[in-house]
Amino acid sequence: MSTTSPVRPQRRELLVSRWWIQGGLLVAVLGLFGLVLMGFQTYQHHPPIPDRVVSESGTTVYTGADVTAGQRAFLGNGLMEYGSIFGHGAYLGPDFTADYLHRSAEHVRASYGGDGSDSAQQRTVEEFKTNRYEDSTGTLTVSDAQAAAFADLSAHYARTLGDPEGRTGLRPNAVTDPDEVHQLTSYFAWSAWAAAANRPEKNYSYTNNWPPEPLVDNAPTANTIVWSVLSLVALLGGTGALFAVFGRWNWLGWHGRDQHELRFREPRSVALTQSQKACAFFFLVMSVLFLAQTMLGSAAEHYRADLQSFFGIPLDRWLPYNLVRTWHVQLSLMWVSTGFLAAGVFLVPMITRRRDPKGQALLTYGLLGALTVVVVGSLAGEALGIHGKLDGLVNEWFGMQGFEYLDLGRLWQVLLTLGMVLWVVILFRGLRKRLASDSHGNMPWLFFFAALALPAVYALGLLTRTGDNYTITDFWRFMVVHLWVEDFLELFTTVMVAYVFVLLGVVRERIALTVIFLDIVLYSAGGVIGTAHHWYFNGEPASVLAMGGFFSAFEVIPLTFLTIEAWSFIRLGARRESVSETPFPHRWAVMFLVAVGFWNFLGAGVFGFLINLPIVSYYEIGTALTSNHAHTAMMGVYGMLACGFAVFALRYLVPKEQWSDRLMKISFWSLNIGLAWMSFVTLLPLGILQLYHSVDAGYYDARSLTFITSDTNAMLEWLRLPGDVVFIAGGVLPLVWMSLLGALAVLRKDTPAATNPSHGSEDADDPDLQLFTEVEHHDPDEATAAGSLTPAGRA
Amino acid sequence: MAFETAFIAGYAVLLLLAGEGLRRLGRVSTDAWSSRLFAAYRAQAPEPVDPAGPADWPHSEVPQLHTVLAGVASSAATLLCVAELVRHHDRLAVAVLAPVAALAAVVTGRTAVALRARARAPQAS
Ligand code: HEM
Ligand SMILES: [Fe+2]
Repeated sequence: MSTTSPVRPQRRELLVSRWWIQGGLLVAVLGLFGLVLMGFQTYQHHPPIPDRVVSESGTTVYTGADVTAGQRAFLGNGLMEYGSIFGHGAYLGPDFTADYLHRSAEHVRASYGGDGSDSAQQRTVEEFKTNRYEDSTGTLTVSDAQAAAFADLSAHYARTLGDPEGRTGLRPNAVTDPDEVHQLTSYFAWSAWAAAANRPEKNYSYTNNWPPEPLVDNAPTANTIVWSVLSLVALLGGTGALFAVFGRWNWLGWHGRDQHELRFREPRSVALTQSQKACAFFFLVMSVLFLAQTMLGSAAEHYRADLQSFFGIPLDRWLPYNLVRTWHVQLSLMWVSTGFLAAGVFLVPMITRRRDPKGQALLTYGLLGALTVVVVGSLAGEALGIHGKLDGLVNEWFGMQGFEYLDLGRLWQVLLTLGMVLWVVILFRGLRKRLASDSHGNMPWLFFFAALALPAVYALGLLTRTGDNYTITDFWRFMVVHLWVEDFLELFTTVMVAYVFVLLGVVRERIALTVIFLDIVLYSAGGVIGTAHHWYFNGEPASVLAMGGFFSAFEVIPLTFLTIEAWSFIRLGARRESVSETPFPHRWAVMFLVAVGFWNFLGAGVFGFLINLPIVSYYEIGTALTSNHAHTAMMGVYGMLACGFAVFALRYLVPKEQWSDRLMKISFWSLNIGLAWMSFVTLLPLGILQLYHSVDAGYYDARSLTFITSDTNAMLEWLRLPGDVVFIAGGVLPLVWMSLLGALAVLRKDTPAATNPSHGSEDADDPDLQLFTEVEHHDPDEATAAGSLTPAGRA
Repeated sequence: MAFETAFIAGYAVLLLLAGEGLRRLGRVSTDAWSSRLFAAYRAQAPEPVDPAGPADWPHSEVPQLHTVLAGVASSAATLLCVAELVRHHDRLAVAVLAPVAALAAVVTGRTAVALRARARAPQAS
């Protein structure tokens, strides 16, 4: 397919059946409809914030303005990266909802006669469960005992959050302003009220009775249990059905006999465009950020293993736990995104086999500059915010916005979105000519659409406003934390990986397309509505819990399924390799993809589902099992993938004599062994213990420092050390080194360029840019291969 | 016996079982044609197209990932049991932990031997 004439070319035909597009769109629209429906529910049924909370004797305890200001103080001081609210946030500090609820209930019970008295217990339950909020006046009435508990707890939070010694994980004197303490206490008190008080006309609280707390009779609701059972059934039934169908029909058409022979080009003979060379610096930035992220991770881990000292250095004065964790979490997104952005730019000339349009390299360097500004600016802002140097709106815009995963100031958030838009523009300029000549359902367009979705969905995170009701903020926050990360990034990934295989000549474009459409269908069915698995207990109504529990089960199916698909890709690749006379140059890049498949299954699929049932999440949310899942899924899937992309691109960028397959081998094994060690030795057993403790002794207790810093836990936390060392020294450092070599080669101009003037331009095919050559090609089954739901018997 | 001891012993056994599962997975042929998913299709078209042999790359290395991670599981089990023995060594604790630790160590050793043998075998392709 060579486009020799620049006049309007004929569009290539769609390679798969139209049914795929129509089916994909239909399911996507249904998924979106479910999401919008849940959005309505969020706005209608979130727990109200009373205008004023008064005691029975008539004094005002706190106001709605205090609650909102308290949420701002909570976020602005980085407390969501220390402890959590409604179960969401960091896991070192307490869950402030559960903490306030437990402490105030204890206080109230004591004032009615305490532990031994049944009537005191009963009265406490009644006071907390009865909803005395009056909608018409916006007034919530609390008992005098509850008001006294509030005063007492204000003093408690003033003491713990403003400790002059530090040693809590927060910086010394973190929150000392009495007004701020009052506002924070109001915020916690409101969340605890919503967690215990029954919804109007219901026999469970606004949070579906979360947290489990015997003092106020908070126990799993019927919905929590029933939808957990149905979720299990959905998983088993869904998987069975899919596999049955898949075994019955030969969807993907493996029987397409490709008898072509490939000759892989030696990477360094593949010409690189200027924009591709710019990617060398992206990968250098990526690996340096990766290194920084893992070092910060060790510091955060140290706080857990030994809160009292950092080898005698008062680390919490400069780098308190919440700052370390903020940076750790933000960098995890940033280095992975840097790798993905670069991979996108790098692939474009390989897809189009055309040279860069004018100014493309300049734009790419511009993107790198913008990215650097956002990374440095946002990290610095977070430090200033957590150190209390910025206030109010300034802090929110330039410093610490403070939502976990959306910690960065709004300005940086906007800039990051714009950066991604610039990235899409870069991709579009590169792809333009190719897009014009292809069907909208074929790979170049899907690649473009998947890329376009990234800034669009990330931008939804901008609707998370610090002054909104928490439940509403959580709705928008998870557009990024779930929808963007788990669905759209996963889609973009599938497209990229499929494309790489197509470009390498190991997979037919049609098969790759089928897999992508299947991915769209499966993710739209489970993943989109499945966002609600984060909303079981944050103030959403029970219907949202039901949808989340049921649909998120389907999210696991594509993981199982697409993993198997990815493996089949690789298997096909192996067959192709065996017929190539030249060695396959991407051994370690492909091994990273193999690892992605493994962790997708274990980290996302198994460890994700382990905490996914509402009844498990009820006791588990915000504990070490979440951490276990988060690390094995985020690092295992996206981290390994970003490394794989980097290794793929560096293979072209690093001079042959400097390239070391051995170093990549060390990196590959170290990252996988280190990650597995972290999970098997520490996070998984710790998580099981914490879950057990939560069911046994209560959630409040399982999240207390007493439990987290117990000897047993400290032992498990220390035992992970060797794995962390292997991960960082053996896994990350070789990547830093290799990407440094790549960047230096570009600086030295020691990279092959598209120089042959008789070849190609922006308008024409340049054979120098091709990754393989096809020697012989006859494909008798071509016409009946993949794409339609052909029953195997007929094919 | 302390709860902690019982937990560690139980968890170590769980790790060994999971590791064994991984090792088995490592031995299963990774050729697409022998996949159970294609059972129905194979029934229709019994002749696979030039099937990949176990020595073809990456078939030669995919099981290695499973085997290495199984090795991580068993060494984790060993270390956890030993660490727990340092903390608790009353008679009952030793009676429970020592056999598990020994078994885990043996499994780890055998995995290491198997991996070394595989590494020494002539590389395919
Ligand atoms: C590659 C795919 C995935 C990635 C990268 C990923 C990543 C994460 C991360 C980073 C968190 C922690 C959020 C926090 O601390 O607030 C999380 C939480 C969670 N994930 Fe996933 N996940 C993936 C797939 C899945 C799947 C397939 C499921 C199950 C169907 C799942 C279920 C959950 C649940 C229930 C939580 C909430 C736990 C809590 O809030 O305590 N995840 N995920
Ligand atoms: Fe999620």
